[in-house]
Amino acid sequence: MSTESESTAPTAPDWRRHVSRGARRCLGWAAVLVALYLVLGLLGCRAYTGVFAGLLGGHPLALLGGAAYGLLHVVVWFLVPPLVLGALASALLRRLLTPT
Amino acid sequence: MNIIRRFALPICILVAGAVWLPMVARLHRVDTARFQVQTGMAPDAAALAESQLRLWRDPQWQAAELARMRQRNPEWDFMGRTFFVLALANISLREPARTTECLGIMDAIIDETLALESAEGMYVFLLDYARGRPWVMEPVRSQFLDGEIAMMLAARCYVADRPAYREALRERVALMTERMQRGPVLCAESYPDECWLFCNSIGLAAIRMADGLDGTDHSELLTAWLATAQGQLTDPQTGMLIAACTVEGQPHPAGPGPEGSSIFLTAHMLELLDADYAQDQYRRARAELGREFLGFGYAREWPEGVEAQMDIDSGPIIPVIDASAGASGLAILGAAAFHDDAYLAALLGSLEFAGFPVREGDSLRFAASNGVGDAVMLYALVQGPLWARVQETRPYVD
Repeated sequence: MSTESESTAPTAPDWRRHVSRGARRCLGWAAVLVALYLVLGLLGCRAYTGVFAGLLGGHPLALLGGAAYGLLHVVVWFLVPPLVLGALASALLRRLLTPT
Repeated sequence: MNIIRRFALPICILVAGAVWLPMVARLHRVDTARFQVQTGMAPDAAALAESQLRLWRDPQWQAAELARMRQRNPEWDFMGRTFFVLALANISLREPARTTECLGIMDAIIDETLALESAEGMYVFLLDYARGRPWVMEPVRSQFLDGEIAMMLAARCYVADRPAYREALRERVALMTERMQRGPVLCAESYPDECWLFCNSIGLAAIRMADGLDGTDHSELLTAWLATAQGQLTDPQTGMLIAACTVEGQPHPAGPGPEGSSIFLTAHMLELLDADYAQDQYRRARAELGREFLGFGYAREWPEGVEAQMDIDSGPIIPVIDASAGASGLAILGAAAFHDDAYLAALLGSLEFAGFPVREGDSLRFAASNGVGDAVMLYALVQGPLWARVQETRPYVD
């Protein structure tokens, strides 16, 4: 047990050191966007995505929720993965380029 | 080395984007056999049919849903009926065991449509501006209603004959042919001095279907229409039919050129008149309007370089790529009708990704669509047998 904590404890801060401020921001925004997407999904906003085709009347909040959900659906699929993968890859690259 | 460290993040994001973006469509690729099969019903087409059938089985839901749709756009209510009746005719021919159920619903839709038209007049299914300007032809009628009602009646009679509907079909055909022959380009008005080729092609297909049923012969009108359309209603740049003209045959400002929300359906209707010409129109529409972006299929409303405003037919247009909801929905019909399998798969991938399918039990609907959108998609996925049956009757173009 003590051997395991001794071997992992120093590497974690070492990794964090290579995650740039920009990468942290990317990861933070990605988390916010995914969380918002999930929350709107749980609130049932998916049912109101017809707002994009101008197909629904109804409460403005529902229309806003549907529009936001539709937009986030595209963002989460197209933008978030490159942000997350790019941020992690940049940390790895910076780690590899750091002289030991 | 420091420069690389400094730009590591943007470089990595760009590389990750280049790797990831082409994969998104792969992750949303659909098995087209889930939507469309040659014989019988594909599972998702059956589920889509089920959600539409529920609407007509439940009078309360039906009244509420149709009233809501008619309030937003009365055309959607009417077109939803037409496409659903066409879909039911094809379902009957695909699965004869369901014929009785389908005929019952088709009759309910047709009777309710005729009753509404009779009680409230044609304006019940037209947009408000139909009352705001003078019509050219007297007495005032709309080819939009006459064509689609004739199409519904004919489709029903191809599944199983019903004398009252045959008679009503003959009356509509007589009205349409008389009015079309009055205009110099053989087109009748859908709206005041607006002759939409969408409506006129449906009317022509219905006339052709009536000829097959009754053994009548309107081949002179149909071949004359094709010749006139190729000479006077064709966009010189693209070789595609324009969307709308005046009674005198001038391109109408509402649709002076080809439109995606019109041409895919028009080409499908013209299959019954001249299959080669229809195929050529589809091929041109596919080249000028059909697009794929990162593996997702869609259609533009207008060819590149055409400046036009988004309208109720185009639906919303996604900036930059110019994807039109209306054109893309009807492109599914075009791709399915003309067996453009690769484009159909790409379009269905987009539908799966951006249509927000809602599967509840054995039914399927698309949250980003509405009744008419779902009816068009259902018809696109089951079409085929009805046209084949019509084509078995007398062909005009050898």
